[in-house]
Amino acid sequence: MSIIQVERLSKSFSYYEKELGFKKSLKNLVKRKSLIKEAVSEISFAIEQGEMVGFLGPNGSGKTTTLKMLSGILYPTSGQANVFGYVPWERKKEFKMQFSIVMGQKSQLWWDLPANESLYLNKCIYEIEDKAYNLVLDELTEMLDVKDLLNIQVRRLSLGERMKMELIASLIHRPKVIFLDEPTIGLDLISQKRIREFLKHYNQQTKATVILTSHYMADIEDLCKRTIIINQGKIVYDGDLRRVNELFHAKKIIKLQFTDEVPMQALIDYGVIIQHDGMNAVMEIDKHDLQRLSKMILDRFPILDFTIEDIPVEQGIESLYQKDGVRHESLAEV
Amino acid sequence: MSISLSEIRKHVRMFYIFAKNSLLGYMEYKANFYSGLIMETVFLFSKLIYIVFVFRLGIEINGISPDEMMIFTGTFTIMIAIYTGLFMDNFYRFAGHIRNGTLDLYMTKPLSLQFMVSFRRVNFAFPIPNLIAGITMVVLAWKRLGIEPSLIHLAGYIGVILSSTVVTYSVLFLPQILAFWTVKSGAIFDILDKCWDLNNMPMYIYPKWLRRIGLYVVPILFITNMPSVYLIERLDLVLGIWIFAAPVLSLLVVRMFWKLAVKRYESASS
Repeated sequence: MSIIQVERLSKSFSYYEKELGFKKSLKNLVKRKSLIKEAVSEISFAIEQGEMVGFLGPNGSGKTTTLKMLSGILYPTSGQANVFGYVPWERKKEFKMQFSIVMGQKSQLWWDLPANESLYLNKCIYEIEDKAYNLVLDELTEMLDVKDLLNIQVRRLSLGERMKMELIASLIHRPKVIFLDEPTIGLDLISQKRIREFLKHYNQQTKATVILTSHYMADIEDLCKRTIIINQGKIVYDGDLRRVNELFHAKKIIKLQFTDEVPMQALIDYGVIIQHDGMNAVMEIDKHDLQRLSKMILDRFPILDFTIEDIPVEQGIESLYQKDGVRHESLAEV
Repeated sequence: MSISLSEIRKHVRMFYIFAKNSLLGYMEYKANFYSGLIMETVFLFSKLIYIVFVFRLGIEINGISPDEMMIFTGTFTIMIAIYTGLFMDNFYRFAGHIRNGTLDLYMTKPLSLQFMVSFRRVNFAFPIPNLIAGITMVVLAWKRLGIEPSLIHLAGYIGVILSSTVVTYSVLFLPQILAFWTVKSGAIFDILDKCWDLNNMPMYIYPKWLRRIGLYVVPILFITNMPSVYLIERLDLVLGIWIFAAPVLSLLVVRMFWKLAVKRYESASS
């Protein structure tokens, strides 16, 4: 049985619009026109124990709202969810004892105190025995290389160091399920990489189930075999990230470098020109015609270098985002 | 969350850790601690000037002698110490937790959410001068009035102070919960602040209708008056029962309203 099961889960929010200007604000004070936004719309999926699943989607697509429902912060408008046997929004203590959520933009550490005080607070909140606490703390601080920073005030730590402490605070009770909402946001590349390595290692070691949302493709590519792509509150793709482009199987990218200048007009018949500066060109061409067109290009133009590549994952995802919701459904693997 | 003995023990322990962390935080900012202490002392002295005037003039208000008046003022000052120490910082921050989304994180912890937002911070600078001044006033007036200083009397007074503390929490926290709908609660806080000052004087100076509303409907007058009325032996049967009933009822109302609000919580944007 799956550790996380979600069925036709939806969440709507009411909001209101205010047009520019003082007059409109005054009008708003008396009467507001209430509007409804469907943040998440009838999504369904299941996640197995130990899986690490990436949630991808543009801002406002419903990723965080989904995580908030799965962690019991929000009540859904409709639908069902089951996380290791519990309905999250019933907010049972036994449920809370076994999961954790890390929000890259929100902190649970006490700003003015050393991190070890906040960690000790969590030890008491999660009712962890002294021996187990010391063991896990040693292990996590070693893995994240922050043992020497435990006694330093949180406000004096760098963003990367603080994030590591946030992770320790969230994992100190060895949760079965971990929701990570943009855990690497704002971090430099090295810190991002370190946190990714840690998460990968932690998942392998503890078999914890992880759902990760991130804007950084590298986070998802590195960590998650499976990716769920959400756009406008709907799942548009659920599967291996590297296979996103198979939805658009027909295209390949070729990169050309010339020894002499080649005008754009001369290339136009071979495919869609993405970039061109006379000496270099990047083109999107039909996969079925790849052999024939490549031969023609090599024969006709003064080629110095020639490479064939898949369409970048980002581009495939962007194409998914740009299409409307209904067509997505037909494209999605789900 | 079911209320079991072990849960109560856990929450008491957590309160101790919250208080310890607050104190540690205070000690990091010495200047802030001392300036808070000085500010509250100056504020207290400005209020005491009024009291001294009333006391010197020796005016009786509705049968309340200046010495009895000092019991009221002393109790009010003690209640200010309790309010500023335990609740003020938490109530001030509450709407911010909703606005900034920190409530999201608290909500996922296996600890009562209401407890966590109500007692996460303890203020140590503001209550000190109020507590010293309040206790001094009550002890002085107690002596001058010749009230028997028995242990039962003292325990009774502390008991009513505890009852008032629960009512203070309920009356002042209930409007804060509106922040779940309104998100900003500054104006609500200001209204309450003004109502709180009604406790500055004994309730006997107010008309009967206002006294009844302030005791039984929105028990803001309960806070200072009940412990004082107990001490000056003006307690009748109805008020005696109300001392026990008001904290239970007000806490129940707050708890129900809280549960309703949390269910409707829509969280801040990520």
